[in-house]
Amino acid sequence: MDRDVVVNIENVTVRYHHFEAVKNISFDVKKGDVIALIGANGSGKTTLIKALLGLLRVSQGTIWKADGLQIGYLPQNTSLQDRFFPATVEEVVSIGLLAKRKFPKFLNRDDRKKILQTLDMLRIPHLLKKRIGELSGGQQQRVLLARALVSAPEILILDEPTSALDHSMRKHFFEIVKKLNEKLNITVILVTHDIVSAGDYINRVVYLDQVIKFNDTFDAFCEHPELSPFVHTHPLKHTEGVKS
Amino acid sequence: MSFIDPWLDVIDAIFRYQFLLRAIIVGLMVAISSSLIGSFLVLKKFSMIGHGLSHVAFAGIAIGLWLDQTPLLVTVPIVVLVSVFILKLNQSVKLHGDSAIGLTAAFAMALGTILASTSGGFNVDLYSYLFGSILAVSQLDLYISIGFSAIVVITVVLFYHDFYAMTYEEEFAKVSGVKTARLNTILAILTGLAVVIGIRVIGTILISALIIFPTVIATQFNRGFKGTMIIALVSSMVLVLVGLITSIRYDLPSGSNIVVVNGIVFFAIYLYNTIRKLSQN
Repeated sequence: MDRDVVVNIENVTVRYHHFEAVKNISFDVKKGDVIALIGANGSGKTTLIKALLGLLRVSQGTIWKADGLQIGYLPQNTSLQDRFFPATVEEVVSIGLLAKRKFPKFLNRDDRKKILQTLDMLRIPHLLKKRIGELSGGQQQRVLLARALVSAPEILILDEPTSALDHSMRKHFFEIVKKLNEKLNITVILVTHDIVSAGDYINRVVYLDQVIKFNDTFDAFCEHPELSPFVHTHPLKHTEGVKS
Repeated sequence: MSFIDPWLDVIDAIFRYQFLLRAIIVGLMVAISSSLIGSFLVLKKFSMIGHGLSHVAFAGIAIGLWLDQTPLLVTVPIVVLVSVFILKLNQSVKLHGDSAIGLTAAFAMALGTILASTSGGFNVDLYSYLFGSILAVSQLDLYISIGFSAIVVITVVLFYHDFYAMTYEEEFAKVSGVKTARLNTILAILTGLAVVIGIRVIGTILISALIIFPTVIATQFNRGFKGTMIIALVSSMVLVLVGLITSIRYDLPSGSNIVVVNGIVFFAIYLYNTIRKLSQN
C-alpha cells in the first residue's frame, strides 16, 4: 500500500437489517487530502463516516486506518446546541482532550494552555469562559471544531459542518479548514451538500449513491454532468439551492 | 418566647434524639447522591428514570414486607436490576426511553398494590415508605445510605469527565474512546442506589423530585457544567436540611416538606430571572 495512505476502505458494505446503506465501497484517503464526500440524502454518506469512526459495524469488507491515527470528528447538526445546556467553551473543548486520555482525567495547566492555543488558532480565545448556548451558530461551530482539533488529529472528519451556517460563515469555515490543511497538513474528509461553497477548498470529490459513482478531482467532477442528477452542465451553476 | 426559640429547640432535639440525627444524616446522603446523579440524568434528558425507579422501589418494599424481610435489603437488588433492565430495553428493543420507563413503572406499581391489598397487614408500614418518615430511620438505614452515598460520590468523582462527555454528546464521547455502554450501565446502577437511599426520608413517591429539582434549580444560575453540579449539590443539601428541620418543627411529612421547599425555591428563582429579563428588555 502507498505509504501516504492513512485510510483504506476496501469493498465495504454496511447493512441495516436487509437494507444495504452502502455497497462495495473502496477508496483510499492519502495524507493531506481534502475530500468532499457528497450525495443525496440517504446515499450513505453518514453511514460510511460512522463505519469509519467505528460507530457502525461493517457488514462486509475492511476499513484500515494507519497505526495510531488520531481522528478529530465534528458530528452532524451539532451547531444547534441546546441553548440551556450548562457548559462553558473551555469545558466543551476539554472533551476533545480528556475523553481520549487514561485516568486521571482532569485538566492540568498544560491542557488549559492547549485549549487556549486551539481557540486562539480559530480566533475565539475570548470565548473561553462563555457558555456555549450563548454563542452564535458560527461561533458554536468554531468551538466544536476546536474540540475536534485540540487533540492534534492527523485527520479531521466533518459531517455537514456548514448546514446551519449562512453563506459568508460557510465560506469563512471552509477557509479555516483549508488553512488547517495547508499549515498543519491535516487530512480532511468533509461530508457536505454544499459542493458550491466547498469547491475551492477541496482536492477530491467522492460522490456516493450507495455505491461510489465518482472519485476524482473537483474539476473532473465538473466535467461529468451525467454523474449527478443535480449537476447538468456545471455544478457551480446548477447545484445551488438543491436540497438533497 | 421569641421566634427563634422553637427553632433552637428543634436543633437541640436533633442532637439529643438519635433518630432525628439519623434522619438528618440520611437526608444529607440523599441530597448528595441524588443531586450528583441528577445532574447527568436531567441534562441527558433521562431524568424520568428516577420516577420510574421510585415505582419499582414501591414494588420492592411491598415484596420485602410481603416476604417479611427487611424491605430495603430486598429493594436494593430489585431497583438496581430493573434500572439496568430499563436501559437495556431502550437499547435492544428500540423502545423510546419514556415508554420503557412508563411500562416498567406501571407494572411495578400494579404489582406492589396487589401485594399490599392481598396481605393487608403492612399497609401502615407501606405508607411510611411511600411518603418518607423521619421516625422510621433505623441504624441499618443509616449504614446503607452512608455506604451507597460513598459509592455514588467516589464513582462520580472518578468518572466525572466521562460522565460529563457522555452527557454533553454521547456519539462524540464514544468516538473519542469513552466506553459509553459501560458508563450508561454504571449510571443506571448509581441511579438505583440513589433512589434506594432516598426511600426512608423522602419516600418512594417523591424521591424522583430530589433527582430533578437540584439540577433544575442550578441551571437557573447560568454556570458551566461543573459549576452547575456544585450549585446543585450545595442547594440540595441546604434545602433538604431546611425541609427536614421545618418538618420537625411543624410536624409535617418529611418527604413532602422537602419537595415543597425545593419547589418554592425553584419557582422563586425562576420568577426572579424572568422579571429580571423582562426589565432588561
